[in-house]
Amino acid sequence: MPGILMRRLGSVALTLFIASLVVFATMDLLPGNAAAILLGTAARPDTIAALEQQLGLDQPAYIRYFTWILGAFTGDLGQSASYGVSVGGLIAERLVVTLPLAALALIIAVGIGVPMGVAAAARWRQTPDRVASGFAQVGIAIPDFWFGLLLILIFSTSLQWFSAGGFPGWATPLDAIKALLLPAFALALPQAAILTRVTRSAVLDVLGDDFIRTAQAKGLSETRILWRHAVRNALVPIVTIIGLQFSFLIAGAVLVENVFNLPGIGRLAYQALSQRDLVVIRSVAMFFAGLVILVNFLVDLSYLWLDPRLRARR
Amino acid sequence: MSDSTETTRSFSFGPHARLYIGSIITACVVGLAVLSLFWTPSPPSKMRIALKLKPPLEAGLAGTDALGRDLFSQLMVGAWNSLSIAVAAILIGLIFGVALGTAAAARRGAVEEIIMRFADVVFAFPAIISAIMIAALIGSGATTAILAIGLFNIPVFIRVSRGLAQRVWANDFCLAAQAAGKGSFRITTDHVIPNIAGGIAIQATIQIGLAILVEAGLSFLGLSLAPPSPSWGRMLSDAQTYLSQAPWMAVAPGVAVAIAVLGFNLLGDGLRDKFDPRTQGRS
Amino acid sequence: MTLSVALESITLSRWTGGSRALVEDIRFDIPAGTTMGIVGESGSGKSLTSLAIMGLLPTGMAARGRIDLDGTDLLQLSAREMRSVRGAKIGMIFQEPMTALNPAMRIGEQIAEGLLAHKAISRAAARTEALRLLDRVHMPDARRRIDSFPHELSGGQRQRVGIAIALAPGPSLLIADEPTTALDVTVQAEVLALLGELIGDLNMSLLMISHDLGVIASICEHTMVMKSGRMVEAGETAQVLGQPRETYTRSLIAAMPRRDEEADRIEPKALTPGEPPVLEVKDLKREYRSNSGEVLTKAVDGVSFSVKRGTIFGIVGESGCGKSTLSRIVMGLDRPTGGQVLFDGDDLFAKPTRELREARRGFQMVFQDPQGSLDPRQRVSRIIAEPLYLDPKAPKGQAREDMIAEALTSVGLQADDARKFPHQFSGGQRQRIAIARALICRPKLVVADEPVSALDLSVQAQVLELIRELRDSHGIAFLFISHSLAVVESISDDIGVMHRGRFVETGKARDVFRAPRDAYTRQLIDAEPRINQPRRYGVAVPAKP
Repeated sequence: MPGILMRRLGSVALTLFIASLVVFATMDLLPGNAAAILLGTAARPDTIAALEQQLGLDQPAYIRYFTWILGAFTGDLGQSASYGVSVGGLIAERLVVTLPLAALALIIAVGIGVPMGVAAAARWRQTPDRVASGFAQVGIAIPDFWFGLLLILIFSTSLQWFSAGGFPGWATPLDAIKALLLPAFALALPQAAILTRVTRSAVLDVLGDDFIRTAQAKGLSETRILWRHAVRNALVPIVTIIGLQFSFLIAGAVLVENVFNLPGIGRLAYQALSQRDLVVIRSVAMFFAGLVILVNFLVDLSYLWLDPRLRARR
Repeated sequence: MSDSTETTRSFSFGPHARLYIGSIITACVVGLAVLSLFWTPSPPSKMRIALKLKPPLEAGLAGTDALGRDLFSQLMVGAWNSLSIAVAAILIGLIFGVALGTAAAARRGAVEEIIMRFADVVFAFPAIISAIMIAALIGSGATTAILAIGLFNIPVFIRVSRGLAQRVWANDFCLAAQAAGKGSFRITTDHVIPNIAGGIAIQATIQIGLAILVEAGLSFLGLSLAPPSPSWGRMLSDAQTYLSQAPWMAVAPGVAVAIAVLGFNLLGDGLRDKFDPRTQGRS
Repeated sequence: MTLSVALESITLSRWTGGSRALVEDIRFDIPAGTTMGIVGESGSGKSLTSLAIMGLLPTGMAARGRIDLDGTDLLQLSAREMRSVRGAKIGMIFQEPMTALNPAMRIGEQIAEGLLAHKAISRAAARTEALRLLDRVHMPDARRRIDSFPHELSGGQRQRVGIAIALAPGPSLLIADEPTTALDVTVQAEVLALLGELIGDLNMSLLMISHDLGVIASICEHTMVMKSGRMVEAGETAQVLGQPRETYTRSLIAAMPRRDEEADRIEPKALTPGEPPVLEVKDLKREYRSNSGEVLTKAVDGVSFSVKRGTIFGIVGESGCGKSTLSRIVMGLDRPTGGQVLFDGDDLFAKPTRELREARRGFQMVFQDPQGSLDPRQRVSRIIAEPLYLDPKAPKGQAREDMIAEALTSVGLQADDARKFPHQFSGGQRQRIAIARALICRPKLVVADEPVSALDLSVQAQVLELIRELRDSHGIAFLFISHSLAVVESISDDIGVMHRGRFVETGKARDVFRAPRDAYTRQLIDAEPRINQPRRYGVAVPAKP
């Protein structure tokens, strides 16, 4: 067991390292430089030079890289030129919106997708299956940010149950959750559809396995066969998709936060782009990539718990 | 699982309903997109202030926007733009992905390890994030969208083609070819590629649908095609301002995206049902 | 308990609304405490019949008629009522012990589950009972094994768990669907002995489904022969297999592998004395090492033998004995860690890679799975000509067409079959195509790895006959690898019995089978069920009270 863990950790570290090189190379080394981009074409050379020094851009590349990476561990990711505050603080401040939003959306997606998928598999080619399959088919095709617009149109503009966007802050937790509810639903719909589909086909696959017939031959009840034998053995693909979805949710947040005007990290990435603030983009991009890699690692670890056969391998 | 009497019922559309419906929708979307190259009900960027913010059917099939431009004409041109970006991106993903995926299946050990690590790294950047990074470098535009979506699809096709290729490699005919003295490159071109082509085509169909979805998001943020060329995503972003006055502006482009994606997904699933008996009705 | 089956039909409904009868008009009785076997080739409907009794027919299939268990018609029961019969009154054992057990559940729980479903007992009591059952099926170290997962057990141990699961709620009838087909012959003997002991001790009835006449003969009092969904004949086993009334039964028995008489053997033309063997393997070794260089397993541990022109060398052994590794090395798909493989006197692995590839054309391979050994996307002509495409000097155009046609006719197919695709052929025909591919280069040696194991008895007999013919007419040498003692015995001139990477015994096939010297060979021969022996298992039925 510790052997597997160390090897996986090593490979995660390697992936993270390469990803950070990719981000650094595209954002810091390729044409132009942060200072010139930030100031625009009309800037005078001495202003650019001054800003370069302020941003540390006059240092050699490898020093800049290590300053950035070491900073990532201490939370010191440099100063944002456009916001005038530290990047680390900026990200932390935006995370308190994005992470709860993604978590809420994930809970909604799992809460809808898994039961629907299981019901569809249990009643294959009957009414529940057709309803769930239809939902999955249509739900996957609907863009989350558009669904958000529709929700605003219905629940804010017409019914006036929710405000059309904005975030009141966590000082008033109930209002904060209420502000996150519509965007979370918008994010969750396509993910619930995908999860329905994956759950359905994973459970159907297991239901075709020989040991299901053994369980039937024991005279077990249908419910027990379904949950204890079929769903239990379908968890690996289901968890894989849930893991993938967490990263998609975070990425989808870029769009949905814009629609709902939420001060989250996705909106930060977008705003940084319009401000041409490469220092912010670099760290936000790395944060997203790191999150995806980390969640994939956790999913990998969960396989060991879900599938006893994998524990035995080297 | 349950009483046999319950489960012997048959589908009203027959076993290939998804294939038929998907083909029809896809044909309509592609047809309208191609038609827009030659003809649209009115020039898509012609402003007619007198006709601004008219609801559907009062002026044109889908109404007009704040500048009096015909929305349906914009939707048709948007279909072409969206489809061409999606197809170009998927081609990038498919060519690099299949080349690397089949190589990984053919060459075990270090080569496979490097390719899969590469896939992991690329996969860690969702298309929107790479689009933001690319846009920071070279600015927004169709190239940015194609690159971002294409890049994200490389690991997708690496994983799919590697999985399919491994199944082919497990067959004795590959062993027989090896025993006869064929190298792994020739086995890949002679045996593996022909046997996985169908599966790859099916996956590509589904990925085109997803690419349309992502492209809509990118153009919503202004990262894709620059104005005045219309795109579904930007039409939605324009609609945000007039949400209460002209809700149809927000509805029509979204429906267009959903229908196009639905069409490609149904087509892909239908093809899978037809050609891969293992997943019959299960995917 | 008495089971009385009178099935009118089992039908499969289709999308289009039509339906097709898969099984028709099957009648048999199993009185209390008796054993009954259903034997037939694939597609005979024997498994469907057993699933119909359990009410477990696949979706879309329906059974009509009457299946009477002690006065109750099982076909009339509701789903809930049927559940109380399944397991409690009829237990079932399946073919694949690996896939028939839930991979994510500990075996103790899988046994206890059936108890809890039918009896009002506590979890702790169910666990105690599960442990007793594991002891009952002679699971070694049951106290520890009860918390194992299926993948931690061997094939035979898994099937013991399968039997324990079927026994748990105390049924009076066991249905065993090919329970030993996936097992090695010595393990099969142990499992059959266990089944025999259990039905004797517990006074249970047994319905055994098998394609193997020997297995049926060794345990069943009564036998029914099925073909294409219909009953061919039924009666006492000794009578059905000893004096069959029907032609089909007779042909089935005739198709069982048997030795051809030495007299019928055509000696290879011009086998000059002192001619060097086609293949000579000297002290071959294949070890697998860990990264640190420590030897993990010795898959092949010093094997030597030689194959002469126009003869068949058979290698027999159970799974994991190293016979597949050996064949892979001989085919040049793997490299040995020691020893030599001499082909026509040349050391294969001393050659540079390119010359090794060229030398390989002198010998070809035939695989077990006729489905997977042919590329489904290629026409037969392309498949057969595969070796020619690699040889720049090979004939092209009409000459190549002629070679393809000749190869096809020599394996008993038509020349114009070349234009078809593999899926247009039956399993036996596909194996003929695979043999044709091996023959087209006029090889001196063909390595056949389990070439008939996936085939039905009658088809198997034809393919074996074809191999004999090719040996005699073309003078081809065969290295014939199989797990089946009967097949190897019937076809080989010389044999090697392989066990744990070594040959425990080699020699003339006839001598080895007549007078085995090694204990393991004797064990193998004893374990093999044969139809000309009386019933062996479950005989000592105690007197009924």
